[in-house]
Amino acid sequence: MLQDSEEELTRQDILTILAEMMSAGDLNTLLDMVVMEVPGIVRGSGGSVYLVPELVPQYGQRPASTQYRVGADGNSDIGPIVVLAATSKTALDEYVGRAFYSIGDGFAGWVFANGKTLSLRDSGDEQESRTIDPNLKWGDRYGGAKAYYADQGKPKPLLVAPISVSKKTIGVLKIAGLQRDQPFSDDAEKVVETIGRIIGNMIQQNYVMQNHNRIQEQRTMDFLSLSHELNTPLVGLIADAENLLTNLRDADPVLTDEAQSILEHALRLQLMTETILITLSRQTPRRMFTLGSIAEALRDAVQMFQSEAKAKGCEILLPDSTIEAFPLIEMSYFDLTNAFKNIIHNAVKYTFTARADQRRFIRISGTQENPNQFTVKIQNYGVGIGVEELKHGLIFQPYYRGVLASDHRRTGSGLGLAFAKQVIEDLHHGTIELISESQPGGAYLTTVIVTLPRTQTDRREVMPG
Amino acid sequence: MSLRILWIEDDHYAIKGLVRPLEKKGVQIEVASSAESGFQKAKVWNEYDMIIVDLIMPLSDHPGKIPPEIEGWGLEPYVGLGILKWLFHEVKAKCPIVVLSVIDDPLVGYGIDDSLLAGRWVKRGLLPSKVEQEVTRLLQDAA
Repeated sequence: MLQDSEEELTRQDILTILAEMMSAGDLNTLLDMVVMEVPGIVRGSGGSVYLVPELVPQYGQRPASTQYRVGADGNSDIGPIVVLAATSKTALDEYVGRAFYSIGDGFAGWVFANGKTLSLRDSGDEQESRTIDPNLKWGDRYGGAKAYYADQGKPKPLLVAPISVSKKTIGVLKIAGLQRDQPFSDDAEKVVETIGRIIGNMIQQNYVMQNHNRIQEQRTMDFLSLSHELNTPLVGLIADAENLLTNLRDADPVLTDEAQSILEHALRLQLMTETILITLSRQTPRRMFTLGSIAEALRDAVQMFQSEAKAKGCEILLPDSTIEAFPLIEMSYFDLTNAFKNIIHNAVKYTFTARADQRRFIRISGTQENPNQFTVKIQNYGVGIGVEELKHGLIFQPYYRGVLASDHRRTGSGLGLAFAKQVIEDLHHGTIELISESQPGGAYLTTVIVTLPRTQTDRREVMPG
Repeated sequence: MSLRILWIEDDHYAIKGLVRPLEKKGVQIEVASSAESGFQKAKVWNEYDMIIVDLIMPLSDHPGKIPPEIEGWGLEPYVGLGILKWLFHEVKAKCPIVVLSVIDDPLVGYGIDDSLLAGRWVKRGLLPSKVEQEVTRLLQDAA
């Protein structure tokens, strides 16, 4: 449920939305449905919903985005107009204090209760402007015309209902009757009033959606600014770190080691920043896709954590003999590599440290089970994930940390798998699932299974690799 | 004669390390830190072997009136898009043009044909060695 409906709609907002709904045919479709359902109600001449616009000081001025027609031939384009009659003087008086009348077939005009200029146009195409009596009311005579709709000089009853949004009357709904000089039934009046309410609700919903979209757009721009400000010094840090390492290649090995360490920390910081920004934005970013190598993405990801794994007596094993056969797939390389980095980092982090007489492994494998997909599996032995957490997908929720992962005060952001899921499923249209099988001694064998389509068939933004 | 690259980038000072390996090889990197500055320098695009453009930048970094030719660039979602459209469609620059930005959106959504670009590099996670490698490759292809 959108929460943005508290803000007051301006009249311009309302008119813009109503005009768009008219252009889309929404209102006419609604009318057609009602006319079919309720006997005795038919469309009047012109047969459309008319709008009560903001005060238009002169004939011919109209909102640029709308077009209005009156008259059976549809050619009498006279700008914002409206409803021509009301079921009663009382009802009409409720309509923003304005009185309306028309003269002749194909004619419509309006009177502004505050005495603005009236424009008249009759079927003979003559046009005159007059300043009118501000006290003119429904039923009064003006220039020989009577204040009801006239079809070839004969009075014709109309049903009119207000269209209200946020308790403001912003329009009226007009439906003509077939039977001249016959009143409408109570049922017919109720139906028309109901339609007016429905239209008001449609406008309200449209406005709320538009406002929501505006807010989303602003959030996207705010997020972009934040991303730019965070990433700029990081880019500089990574660049300087690599340059330092390059310059120290032939220097003291201790210095080289320290420069290498700085670069690795800078790249880890980049990964963390990216994970946080993407996950917290809760939006799937728009990306260019290129043909890329899963093997290269996995190698990049493994390289970042190989040292940390080694420090725990663990080795990350890539399938050296088969990895070159891993296919090229359409991917956002940076994002997919980051997804693998988060998964592999979890594997390293939650692998139990090997004792002196042990070796531990994180195994990565890939299989092509059908020509259109490729599956990567990353398996580790260590801290597991509970059955209920897997079953309900809790482990993929931002900030969620597995119960077993959180024991012994292990720290973590809880964002890595949420990020990986967003990249793999939302961005790449693949799937990610976890299996965690209990082993003797309290450890678990945890496998992350990532399946990716080879092509992104619904994307137009795939660039040649 | 050494190679000359025009780099239109307002955060040049923070990320100048990206082009350090190129500078060490003798490539001359000329910087424009705003769209206006880039506009003035890129008028003579044929004096450069490559132009690298960021997408997010200010219109101008000087007080005073913006040249009327670039006023419309401020209405683009990213100012750099205005530069690109001007380079491709008005001055019809023939040197390789590369986008280097944190923005990773496809540019076709902003009215720019990605295939006109010689390269599209994303700043996030970019290494100077990769920049050097890509510039070398592109200039060899262009030669």
